[in-house]
Amino acid sequence: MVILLLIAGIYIYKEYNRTTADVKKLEPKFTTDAVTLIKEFEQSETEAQKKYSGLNIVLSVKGYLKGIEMESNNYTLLLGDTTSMSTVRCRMDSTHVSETKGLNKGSIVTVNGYFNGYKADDTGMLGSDVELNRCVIMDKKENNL
Amino acid sequence: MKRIVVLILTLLGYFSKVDAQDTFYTKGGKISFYSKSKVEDIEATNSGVTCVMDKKSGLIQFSVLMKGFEFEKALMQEHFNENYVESDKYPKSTFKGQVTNNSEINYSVDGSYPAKVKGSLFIHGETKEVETNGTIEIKNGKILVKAEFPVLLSDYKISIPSVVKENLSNSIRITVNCTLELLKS
Repeated sequence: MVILLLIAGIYIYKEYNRTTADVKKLEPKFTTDAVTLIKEFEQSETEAQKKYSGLNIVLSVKGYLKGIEMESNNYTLLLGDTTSMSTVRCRMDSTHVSETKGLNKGSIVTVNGYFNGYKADDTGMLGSDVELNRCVIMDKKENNL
Repeated sequence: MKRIVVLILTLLGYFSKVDAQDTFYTKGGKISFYSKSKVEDIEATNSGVTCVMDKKSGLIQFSVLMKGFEFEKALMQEHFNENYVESDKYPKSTFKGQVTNNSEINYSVDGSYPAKVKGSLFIHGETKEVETNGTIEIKNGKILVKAEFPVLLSDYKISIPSVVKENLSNSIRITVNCTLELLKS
């Protein structure tokens, strides 16, 4: 009985103090590219929202690196088509920020991250965004085209 | 309800016509919330806040994805998304309003100015009129928007499960911190 209580206690303690899993160690639920992902939401936000619903959904997104934003230690990679204002915004996991070192605009990168959702642009000035957080870089190569 | 619809339509209409040289924005603003509880304090931050402001009129709007709030503990984050704000059903929260004392802010002179903001806060499918004080700081061509205000969970029909009702506060403190840059057309 004491052993059972001890096991239960350890489980509860561990579960209570569990931190969000490192995306690098998780299998993505969906693998796609930035342009397709944005298009899915632009065509039917309801359908796309339904497809990617659930807790801790990890996406693997490949795309053209349009830019890197840095704001008070937050790094965000912007993936998508340069002719469109819409973007897949990937906020880097703070423990994986070093992976952005040497990364250049114009590279082709594959980023894994937790799906946050979609923000349709209702101002007509900013472009719509699909957002991911706690992102890690899985692959990067210079675009020589 | 009619007033809210009119306000939203006015804001949407306005932002499609404003001059880019008066428009400032960020997509990397910060909103945090903090709640003191008997068992443990609850805190989370979202660093992907979109904020757009027209300095001429003082119109301002924020939008934030609920799943983008990062908690220290995974279990808290999961309960927040599943049981409290129901993120799959209500993925986004918004604020659309106006700086009511906009004429008192000199956007061409660096400095910190007290700001009064009034508008509609949409969370968990519910919209409420809110009014709060904050500061607008002008620094090197950027606009820093800061505010802190309480939100009652019951106002937005966010119910606390009875098991933890005794331990959780109905009031949470929201902190807004956004640095806006000029929108280049």
